[in-house]
Amino acid sequence: MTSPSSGLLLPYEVELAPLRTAAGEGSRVRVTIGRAPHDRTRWPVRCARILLTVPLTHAHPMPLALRTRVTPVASPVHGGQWWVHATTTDPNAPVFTCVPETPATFDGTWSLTVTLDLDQTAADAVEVVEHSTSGDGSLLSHAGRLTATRHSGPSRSKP
Amino acid sequence: MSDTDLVVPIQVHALAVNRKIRRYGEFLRWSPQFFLMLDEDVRAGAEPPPYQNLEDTENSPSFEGVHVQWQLPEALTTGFFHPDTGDSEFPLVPNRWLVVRYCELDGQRRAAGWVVQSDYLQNGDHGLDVPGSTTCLDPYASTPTLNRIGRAWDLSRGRWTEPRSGPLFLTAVGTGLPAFAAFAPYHKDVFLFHDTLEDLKPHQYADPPDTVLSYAVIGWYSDDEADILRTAHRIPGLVPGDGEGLDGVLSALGWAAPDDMPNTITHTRYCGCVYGIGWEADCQHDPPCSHLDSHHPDGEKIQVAVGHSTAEAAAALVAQQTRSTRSADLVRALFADALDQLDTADGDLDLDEITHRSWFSGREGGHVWRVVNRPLEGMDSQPPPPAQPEWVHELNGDQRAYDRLAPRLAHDQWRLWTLWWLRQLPPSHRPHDFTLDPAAWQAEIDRLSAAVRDQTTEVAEILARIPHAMDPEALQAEIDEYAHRKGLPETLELKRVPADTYHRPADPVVVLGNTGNTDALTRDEEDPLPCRVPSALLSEVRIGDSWHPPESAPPLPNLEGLPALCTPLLKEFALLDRAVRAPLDGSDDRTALHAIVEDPTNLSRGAWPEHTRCWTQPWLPLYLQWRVLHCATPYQDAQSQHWTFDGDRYRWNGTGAEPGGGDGNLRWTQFEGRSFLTPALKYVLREQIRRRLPTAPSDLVTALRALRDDLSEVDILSQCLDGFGDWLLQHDGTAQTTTDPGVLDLVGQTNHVPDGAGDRRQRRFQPVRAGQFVFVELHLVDRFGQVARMVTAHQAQPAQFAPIRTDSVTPDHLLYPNAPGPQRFLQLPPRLMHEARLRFDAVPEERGTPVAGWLLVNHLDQTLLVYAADGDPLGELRVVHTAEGTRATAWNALPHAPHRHPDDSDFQAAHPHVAAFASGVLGHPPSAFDALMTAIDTALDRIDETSPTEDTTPARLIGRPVALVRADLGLDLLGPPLADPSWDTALTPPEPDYPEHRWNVRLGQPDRLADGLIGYFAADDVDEPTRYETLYVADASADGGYLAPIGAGDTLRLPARPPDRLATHHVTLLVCPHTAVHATTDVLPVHHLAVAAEHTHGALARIRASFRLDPLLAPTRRDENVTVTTTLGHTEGHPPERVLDGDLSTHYLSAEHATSGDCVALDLGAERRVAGVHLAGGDPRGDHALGASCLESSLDGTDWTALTEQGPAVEINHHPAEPFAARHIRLRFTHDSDDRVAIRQITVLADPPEAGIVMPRPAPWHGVWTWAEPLATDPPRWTELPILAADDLHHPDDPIPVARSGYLQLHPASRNQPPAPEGERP
Repeated sequence: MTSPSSGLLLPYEVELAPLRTAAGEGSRVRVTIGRAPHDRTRWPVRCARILLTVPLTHAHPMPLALRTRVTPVASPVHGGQWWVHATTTDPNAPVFTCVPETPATFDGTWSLTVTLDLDQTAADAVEVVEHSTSGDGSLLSHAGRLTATRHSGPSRSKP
Repeated sequence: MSDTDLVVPIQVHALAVNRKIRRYGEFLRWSPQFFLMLDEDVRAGAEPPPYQNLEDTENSPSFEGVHVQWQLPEALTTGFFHPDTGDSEFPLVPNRWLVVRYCELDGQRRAAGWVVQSDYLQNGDHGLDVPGSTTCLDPYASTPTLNRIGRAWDLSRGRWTEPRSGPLFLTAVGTGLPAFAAFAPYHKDVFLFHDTLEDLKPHQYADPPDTVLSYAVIGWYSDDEADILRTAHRIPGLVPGDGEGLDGVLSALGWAAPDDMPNTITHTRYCGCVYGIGWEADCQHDPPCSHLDSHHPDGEKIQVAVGHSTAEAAAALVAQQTRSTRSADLVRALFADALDQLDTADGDLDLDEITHRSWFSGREGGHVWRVVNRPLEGMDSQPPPPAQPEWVHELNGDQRAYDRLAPRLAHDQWRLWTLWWLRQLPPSHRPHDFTLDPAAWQAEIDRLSAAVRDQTTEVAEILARIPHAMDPEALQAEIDEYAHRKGLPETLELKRVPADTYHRPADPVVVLGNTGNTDALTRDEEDPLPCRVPSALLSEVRIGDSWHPPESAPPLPNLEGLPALCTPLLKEFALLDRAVRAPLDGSDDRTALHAIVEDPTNLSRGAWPEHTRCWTQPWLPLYLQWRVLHCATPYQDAQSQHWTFDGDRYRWNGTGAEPGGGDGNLRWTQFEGRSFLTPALKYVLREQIRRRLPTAPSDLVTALRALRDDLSEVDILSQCLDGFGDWLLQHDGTAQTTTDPGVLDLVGQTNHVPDGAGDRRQRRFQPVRAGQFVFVELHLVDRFGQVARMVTAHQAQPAQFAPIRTDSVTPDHLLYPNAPGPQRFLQLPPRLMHEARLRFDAVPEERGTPVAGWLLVNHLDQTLLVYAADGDPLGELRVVHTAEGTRATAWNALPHAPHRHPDDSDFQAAHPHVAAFASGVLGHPPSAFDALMTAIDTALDRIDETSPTEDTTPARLIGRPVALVRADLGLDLLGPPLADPSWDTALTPPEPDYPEHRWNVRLGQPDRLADGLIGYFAADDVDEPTRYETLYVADASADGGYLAPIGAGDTLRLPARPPDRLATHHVTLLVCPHTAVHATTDVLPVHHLAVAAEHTHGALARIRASFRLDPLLAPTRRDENVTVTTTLGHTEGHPPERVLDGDLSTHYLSAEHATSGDCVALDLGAERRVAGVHLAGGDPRGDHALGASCLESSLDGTDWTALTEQGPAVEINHHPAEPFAARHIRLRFTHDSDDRVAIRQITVLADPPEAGIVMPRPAPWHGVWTWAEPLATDPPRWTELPILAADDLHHPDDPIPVARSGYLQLHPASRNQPPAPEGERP
């Protein structure tokens, strides 16, 4: 699904695909941030932090095995470099904090893709809190809930 | 051009990434995440956890291009210990690099160039408006501050202009990351240039055209003062003291000076090239063309061996490869430097013991101070050990206090650090429902801070009283100064002796074979890196049929502002690039350069540049990265113990695995990690073989050579699963930072932070490790992030993984029924994660002598002779037939025994353990005595004495002595028990129960010849007195009456306790005094106890062999029994006995001339009162008169007293005013004489000798025999008579023989006594 959803300044695409992991069925959650094919976003959007909460279909007693990937960005305007920090203290919903080295300015010409491979099954929705602002305003928290586009075929697992 | 530059070769690697490799290649690439480390809302480690924060290369077209990485010379990447700071110091490295690319387009060769400013900082005084390429910490900032480092300047945009800069800072570890210079994503535009090939594209959206690329990389220091040639002498420990001049520096760096190196060299320049990269942007081949010649392995073909140590895992790998346990043993022996033990009788056991020891890491266990004799040069023997001055006792008291307090302080510091660290973490680190009580946490932090402060002061005060320093030389100076202050004489010295080491299990080790690695750990010392000078670069190479010199004007980028040497080096680069573009006749894929590289001697002229080769896609394994799932199988729980000790190792009973909701309905935790791979194993083996081959026995030489040849063919990498043990304790070793200097002042430098397990599923605090694990991911990652996957978390792949398991990691039971892929499970046997040591010591002298007594089996009489600790006789145990016709064990006191019976209170008070032992035997039926005798015999038959020649005591006439040795056994923990740092327990940790766990100790190794244990007596429990009702012996068939089997040591089950409540099991051992006793626990290395020679030699020399004779029919008689000996020999017909025959017409005549020190000596047979000595010298004709001499007497044949001294004489008469006591009389010549010596008679006027007993006299080879018999007194006393040899002569005065009961006794001979008369010597 493509957003912005209510409250979020940035557009998101969330794709969910099953992942055949050693532990059974897992999920690949792919979040693309800043790509707005329908261009309903008020550009530019400055963003310093995005929290992605990925609820799981059920709390699993096994620790969550995860793999996170970020597409590199080219310039300081895009945040310099983005990192993802995973927090799994809530067994029901891991939280992924996506942070740029410097606040990134999204203008519709570039996007950031965060890929989250989980060895447990994610629910269809992803909760997002972004610290962002339109234009040059102060950074504020904006929250929203996104529904993922579900792909039926298993994702190819890289190493 | 004068040769001021030294050209140092470097390796250049080029990873070509085209579209296919980007999309389908396998990469794990990550960057340092200093930003997250400093982010107060995150507080992550400096490097991302494995498998997180990966670069999405697949979806990043910008990843395409050629990644050119240069590898610094080894000397510039090596750290040196700085004695002042205690840190490792790394040399500065070149900070400017020219990268030049050649390609051929449209038949024309084109050059492009860039200058990499390696130490460019984005946010710095001289930062440009250009982003740095790689995140880093600012090297100039006093607090951790984020910055970015490195940039590349495209020379097509203009000449290079050197910016102003501050002091140089760039080293191979950057801002503290060990992999900074090795892992490509860590150093873009520092030691790596990413050529996107954008400039070759015909337009923005087109691919770069297919072509062949070559790259040259030339490096230098922007400031000559930072050049290694100028700074080497300032780096502690780099250049040895005698390494003067340039040659010395180059030698220290492992670099070879070029022939005829001029003395004008002042700079280093670094140069390396890579030739012939075939670039195809859209290659559709599978595998990609660029992978055709790569060493990149198929992950599934990599062999993975897992063990508890490198040697063990490597041996398992070799055993499987060679199907030879001999080769595997050879690997273990070489790795442990134990080749000498390999073929000894106990070789297998020794090797197993050494291997087991390698499963542990050691930690200093404190020190003991002693004053010892300073070794004297040229002296074979030393004086006896000196008495310890009082101040040494005080010093040891301080040392003990320090050794006790320091771990306690460290424990409290860790507790403080735990609370402080957890509290400052953002709430996202806590369990989702955890509530932190700030007041309670602060109160505990305050309390611990105060405690740490007090203890720090106390420790510092104690330490100030103890000589100490970090540097060995400084320490010795401190010790010497301390000893001088205490007035220690020069003949003595103060020594610091390490106490027993504490141990902690090492992390499991993975050894990999067939990894495709071609990189050596280090360059061979005998093959230093060949450097060159500018005047001796390549002058010609052979291309086709002709020789080609460097072009005079090859295409070059703008070199203005760059070192002049760049031009000749690039001309050489252009020459070889030309060769790589010239195909060899008849070959599709080989070029002239291939031929030149294979035969540079004949196909090139000039100095050949090291590392020159034709390109292949690199494969340079750097990291091992893993994810494992671990299931605890606890040693014990409240219900029962789940592991059983079999005498050698613990075996899992198959019970107690932690339940949970995971696979098998068990509880699993997840451990991820990565660590550097090294070819250290191959290097160690190779060097060991080289070292040992010249002296190896011939049968080993062949095997060693075969192994050496095998090693040259195979690639083996090894690495431990770094941090596994720490992870089980929830200690996180990833680099972190704190900005609060206050807490660091209190807790000191620490390499770990507590892991509070905010995800409670990851709670796993396991101070006693035991469990099984499986790999769910296992990857080799190379310098560029390329991957070879051995296990990947995809579908059922992990279940198919089949590592080579050593015995020690092979599970005893399947973790749960029908577990998929049982071959992949790896077992970790129980181990104390808390540093611990086995205390197995003879009792300290303040509690009596370690040797409580001695036993001798008398096979003649079937008795057991019992002696006190000092060798004095006590009694004998024997089986007698009672009046009722039954057998009973009885005790008889030996001659001169001070006590009558072990049940008597005086006996028990003087020799409590001997009395208890004897009473124990007496308290059992005679069969117990028989069993004891058999047990001793059986054990002694097996026990090999390491130095039996030292024991020449007469007691051995009866048998080998057995010592009763008292010993203490304990398992000691270093410091207070470990605390669980989990959020839920950090504030008030529960009292851990592991100090109450019991661990078996098996004493003795009956299969080992060099184990001295016969049996032992144990206490009912720790801190209880030893009981002597049961002797534990190796014999498994012992019936449990008096003898019981040692088995797996179930009678010695010890708790591992902290220092404030140590537990000690008091045992008494029956041992061979010359052979060590082994204690096996499995949870710690095997420990040995050997009785110090000072406790055995004196006593053994005093032990008298006693043989009971009952009845003996013999009379007594008085007998002169005088014997004569001489050092001068005798002339035939004139033996020395002539001087005693009472006939002045006969005489003794020496064989040789007398020289000073020669003597003629009389032994009176016993000490007697001497009233006078008359000596008639010369023969009856008056010839051979006596030379100058001294008449002397002695009681013991050792210490002599002069009676008279005279010049040359015929007669000597000595009549003292008072008779004197003597046994020996001798005439000692005091000057050399040119005549032989004749003596007609020696007459000694002495009291008549004591009566002796007449019987066949035993040979006096080992000493003097006497007869001892009891007198009818109360308490019983003994009389001791000399033995007079029975003869065939008539002795009418002899009394009538009577039946006697007593003991033949052998008194040890003094080494200085005259030898036994000829004919009586063996």
